[in-house]
Amino acid sequence: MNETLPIVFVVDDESAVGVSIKRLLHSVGLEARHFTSASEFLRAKRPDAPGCIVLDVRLPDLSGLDLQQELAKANVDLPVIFVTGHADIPMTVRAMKAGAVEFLTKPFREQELLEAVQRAISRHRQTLDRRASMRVLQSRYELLTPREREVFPLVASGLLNKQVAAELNASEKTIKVHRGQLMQKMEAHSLSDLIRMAEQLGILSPRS
Amino acid sequence: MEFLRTLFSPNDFMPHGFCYSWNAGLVWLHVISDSLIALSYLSIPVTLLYFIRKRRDLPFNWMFVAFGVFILACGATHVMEVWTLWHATYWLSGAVKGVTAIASLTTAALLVKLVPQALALPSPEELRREIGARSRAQAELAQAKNNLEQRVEERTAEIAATNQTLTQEIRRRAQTEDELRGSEERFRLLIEGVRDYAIFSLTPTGYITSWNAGAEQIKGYQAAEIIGQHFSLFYSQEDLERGRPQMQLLKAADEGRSEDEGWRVRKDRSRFWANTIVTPLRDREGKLIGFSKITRDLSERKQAENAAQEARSELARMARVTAAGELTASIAHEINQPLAAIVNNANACNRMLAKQSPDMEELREAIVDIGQSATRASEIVSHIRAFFKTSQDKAQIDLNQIIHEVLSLTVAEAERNRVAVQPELGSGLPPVLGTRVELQQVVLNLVMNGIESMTSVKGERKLQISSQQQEPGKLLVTVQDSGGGLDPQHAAHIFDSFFTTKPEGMGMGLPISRSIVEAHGGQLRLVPLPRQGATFQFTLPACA
Repeated sequence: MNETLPIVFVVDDESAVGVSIKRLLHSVGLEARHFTSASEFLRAKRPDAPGCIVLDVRLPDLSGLDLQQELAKANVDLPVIFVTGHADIPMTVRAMKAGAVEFLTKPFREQELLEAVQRAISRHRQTLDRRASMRVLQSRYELLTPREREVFPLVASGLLNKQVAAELNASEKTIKVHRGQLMQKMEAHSLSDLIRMAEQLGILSPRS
Repeated sequence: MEFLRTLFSPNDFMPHGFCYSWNAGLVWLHVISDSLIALSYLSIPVTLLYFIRKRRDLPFNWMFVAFGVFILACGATHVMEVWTLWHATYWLSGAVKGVTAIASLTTAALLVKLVPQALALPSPEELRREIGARSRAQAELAQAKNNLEQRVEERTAEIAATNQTLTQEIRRRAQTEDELRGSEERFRLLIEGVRDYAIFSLTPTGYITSWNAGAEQIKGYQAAEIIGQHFSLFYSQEDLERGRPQMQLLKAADEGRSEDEGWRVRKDRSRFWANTIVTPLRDREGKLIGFSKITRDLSERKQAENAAQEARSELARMARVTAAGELTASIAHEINQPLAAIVNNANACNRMLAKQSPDMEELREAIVDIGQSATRASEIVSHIRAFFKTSQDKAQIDLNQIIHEVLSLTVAEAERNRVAVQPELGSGLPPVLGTRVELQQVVLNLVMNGIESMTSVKGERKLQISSQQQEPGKLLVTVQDSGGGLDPQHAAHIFDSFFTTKPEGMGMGLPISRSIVEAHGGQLRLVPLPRQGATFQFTLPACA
């Protein structure tokens, strides 16, 4: 689990509102930063920490909904909580379809915002965790030889060494050696461990 | 008897032959000559007798008788000459001569007397000429008679034709007369039957002579009770004092027609708003024989006009509410911003205070922010209230203030649509006399239209609004956007009611704005500018 302290980005052109949200988050011990426009937020350096964006739908340069799309394009996976002074249904639907965590109408109750923020942070934390374990697996996978990478999906699909040898036109003994290397390099403790890793890496043989 | 005997007896005389010595030759010469003369003389009266019997038309036939007697007597003397040759009855012979003498004298005397008359008789030559002339005349006469007959025939034919024409004419006239009578009857029935118009006629002095159903309906009088009354009965006391009825008749007589509009009085003394038209009636010589008068009851129209006026102001109010509806989103957004800040700050304070050692500086800032946001919220509320207060009173108004109010109300809407509003308000403008809420409405409409017209503009979205004194006493407000401008086809209709290019528009904004501006004595128009965007201008007269 990523234990880094979470951070909340507040993007609202209305300073009074942005500052008040930041202050509210501070009061529950959350780190928060305030931006008055989408472009200011996009320019800013963001630490690689779990967090979320509290976004005003109406912004002077780029609307909140447009910013949401920009972030998706830029592979920024921070969950978005929308706040608006006046929401209409089409706006809400569009935001939720684009993956918004919550859509809050100002003035909102603190509990709504705080719960949404916690939910968003934990969602982001999971995403970050997933991404971190993936990165570990990928670095292990990169250590494999080409032959081992051929053996990996076949073993992961449940074939016996003999079957794998027949498939690859190799001796059973050779396959057994590759398999040992594979298990060691991937730091797999069992066959089921290896199968899960293959799944995560997306390399399962289509035949199985 | 003795005389007769003496007369016929020879007495003692010797026959006349003795004088000729009985010379046979001499005797016979006398005998034959006297006999022939006597025969001739005798034959003449016979011939004459025959002649006059045949020609009874001849004048003077008594002359022929006298002449015949005279000739006969002469013949008798010659017979006596022969007789006395042998018989010596000279008394008889002398008596015959005596008779002859009397006849001769008579005839000669008569003849002398007859000469002038006989001379007067036309001579044969004259007669021939006359006969010739007469026969020519007769021929001419015959010719003339022929002609006459022909002409008579022709005339007869003509007369017959004329007669026929006349007969037809008479028939036609009778028919026309029937038709005319029918038409008159229809016309009379028509007029009598007209119910929406009071149609009646007056004598030259204004006494009523006819009365239709419409008049009964409108004025409430029956024909029987009103005919013979004076038409001034229908006028109000004030109008009577001003001599209005007489004036209308005089004007109609002078000008051939007079039209009037005003209150009239019904039989039940209730009033109605009437339009009246008086037309003089004249005979062939142009002498005034009376008037016809048509009265319409316009009360309903008057009411409709009033209702229309009310509807117009109601519509203007509705348009204002509609504009408010369109603004709801931005107004809600605007007012919810400070409210959200207040709620957040208050909650934050609450949590901070729950800590063991609250950050007093942070708390103070939060409380200051709460105060500021609350003030902001109340300002917005008072703006909206100022905008929608319904006072209709006319007052001296600063046009720039109106523009400021509208811009403060629409600032959120402009921001939301990323429109840059650029006011260029002239300084020291004189006030205008008007209704604040209405003028706000006009500016609001133009600003909102400008903003909405730019929602799909990719480039710069700019709304310029300026005020200036165009000329002394005349203010000019211009609202110009950088949108796509107006389709020339639409430009002609934008001031028509219910014309709109917006999917949810009602098409009332511009027509109402125009009627408001015009009610204030100004003009609202679309300025045709050949560049992008639409430019609206309105003028208002400044207060003197």
